[in-house]
Amino acid sequence: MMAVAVKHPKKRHYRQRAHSNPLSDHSFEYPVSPDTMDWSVIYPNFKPEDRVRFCDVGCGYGGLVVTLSTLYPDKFMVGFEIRVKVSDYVNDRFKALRLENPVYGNAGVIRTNAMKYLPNFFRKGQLEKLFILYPDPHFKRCKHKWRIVSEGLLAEYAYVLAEGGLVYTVSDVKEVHDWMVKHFTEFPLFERYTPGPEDKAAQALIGTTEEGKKVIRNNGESWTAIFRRVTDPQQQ
Amino acid sequence: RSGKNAENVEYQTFKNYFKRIYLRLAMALVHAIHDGSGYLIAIGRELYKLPSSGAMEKVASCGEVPPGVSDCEGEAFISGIATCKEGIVTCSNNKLLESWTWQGTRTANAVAVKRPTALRISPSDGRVVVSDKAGDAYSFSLPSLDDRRYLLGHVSVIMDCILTRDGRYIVTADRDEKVRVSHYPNCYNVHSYLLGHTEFVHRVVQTGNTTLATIGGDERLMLWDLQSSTVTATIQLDQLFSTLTALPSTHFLLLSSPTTLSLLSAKDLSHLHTVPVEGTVVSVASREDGEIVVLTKESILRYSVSPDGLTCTPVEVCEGVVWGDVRVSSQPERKKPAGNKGFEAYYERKRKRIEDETAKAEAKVCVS
Repeated sequence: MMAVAVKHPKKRHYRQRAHSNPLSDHSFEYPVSPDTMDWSVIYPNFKPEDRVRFCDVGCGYGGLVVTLSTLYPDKFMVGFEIRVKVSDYVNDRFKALRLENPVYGNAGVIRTNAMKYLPNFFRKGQLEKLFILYPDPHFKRCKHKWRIVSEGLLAEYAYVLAEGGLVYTVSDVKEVHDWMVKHFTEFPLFERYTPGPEDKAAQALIGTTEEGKKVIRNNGESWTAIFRRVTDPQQQ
Repeated sequence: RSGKNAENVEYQTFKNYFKRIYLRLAMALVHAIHDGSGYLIAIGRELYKLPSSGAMEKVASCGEVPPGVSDCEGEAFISGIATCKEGIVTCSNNKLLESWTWQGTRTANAVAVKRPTALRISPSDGRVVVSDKAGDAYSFSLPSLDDRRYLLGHVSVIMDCILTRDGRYIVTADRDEKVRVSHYPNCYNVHSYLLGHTEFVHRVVQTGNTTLATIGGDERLMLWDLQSSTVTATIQLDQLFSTLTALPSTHFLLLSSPTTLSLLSAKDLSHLHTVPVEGTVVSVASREDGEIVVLTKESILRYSVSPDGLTCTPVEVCEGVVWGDVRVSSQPERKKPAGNKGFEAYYERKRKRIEDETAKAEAKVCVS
């Protein structure tokens, strides 16, 4: 019997405009609370006591999540993507990958708005790693409130991350990198952190995503910054 | 398509797409004074005091923008009141914050960043806390109303905000069904999220030392335990109530709609009484001991609350009150849209594309 070659999705069928208003109600489906979320629809082998530990906020076409899936086979990880077609592409990509190799059963994507619904999906201190790669710069002043890194949202990131958990940020726009560094370092619950060579995620940051590969192709530069979630200095 | 028919179809689609319900933005408020000595009543721009015993008298006129102050826009009626030993703080719809002595002299003013939605005084440090339409909360020092500090931010409108009685937490409820409990004053540290409502949450009250009650657009009343951050009781109401008030020492909860008052037990949410109110209820405030004052569009009513029921005594209004100022303006508060037709078309096209591709592949196999 001839083996059927698995058909991988082609990006040209999933093109979508890069910007989507995160402040409007796009009619997402999301759980009322983390306890009511059924993760087994995304991960076929998910048991009730398992927990998702890594989240890629704005995972785009899924490059990082696919790479991390093989680097951390014992961890469950998810990408959040707000755009319909792009998240559909990642879904189809994982379906195809899993047919070839079941090891990809620990990674998946959810179409949702990370700015609004992180606490709906994750319990306090549940995540070990959070990824913010090549976030949309939203240069105009009137669009600053669409930015994924802001003083208000940092409190939510600190909430879903465990103490000692890490946030990985990358950008090819120096202004955005400086903005993220400033906000994270000024926030009492984060401090700048340099991981050692054993941190496989840090090594995988630049060359694995579609955005990252495009930056390399165009001879551009990427800046990375990693931050660790620390104990509240003001808490008794 | 043209003419009248087209308009009707579009209007119907629009109406169904956004199920709008209206929470009335009242241009009048009643607020119970912190020490139980009476109430402050705001009608339009005028602030009055109603003592426990004695006649109602005018305190001040608010909302007048001082010369040289910019950024105030909108109609100037009082939208929030807070009180403490040192004096009174008011916020107006035109974003003006003002602090007053009990005698009615203005001590300071400031302009809020965006239109305020709730005004509270923090028990721990005596600062005034303001939540706004942009989803942010700030605190200002009293009585000078300077030293503005950013406290926290939600992604959508903060519809109600309270400080817990021990001053340790700030609870903010937003339009995205979330109730966030953050430490105070280190509000960057979120203590927990109280998740359970399926529509916007527009009222939060503290019912006991560690318990909160909330109502929302899903017409549910929910009781929460602060320490475990879990729901302890829920009931499905039959309508959207505009206000929720707690009478802690009596273990009662009071819900008001424009025409009725309903009394419930705060322990098990059992329904005790519902009484009709003459006039349209605009605002309700309660004292610890079980007395409540209800402000309607044309009267002020005092109720004494007991397990047997609510007894009403109208209050004699002082001279100079202009009831015409109490126009209730409709403020649309959108429930989540019923469904986005946008991506259904995408999935339909995708399904067709896959069908065509499989058909072509099969045709090739047949030929070869």
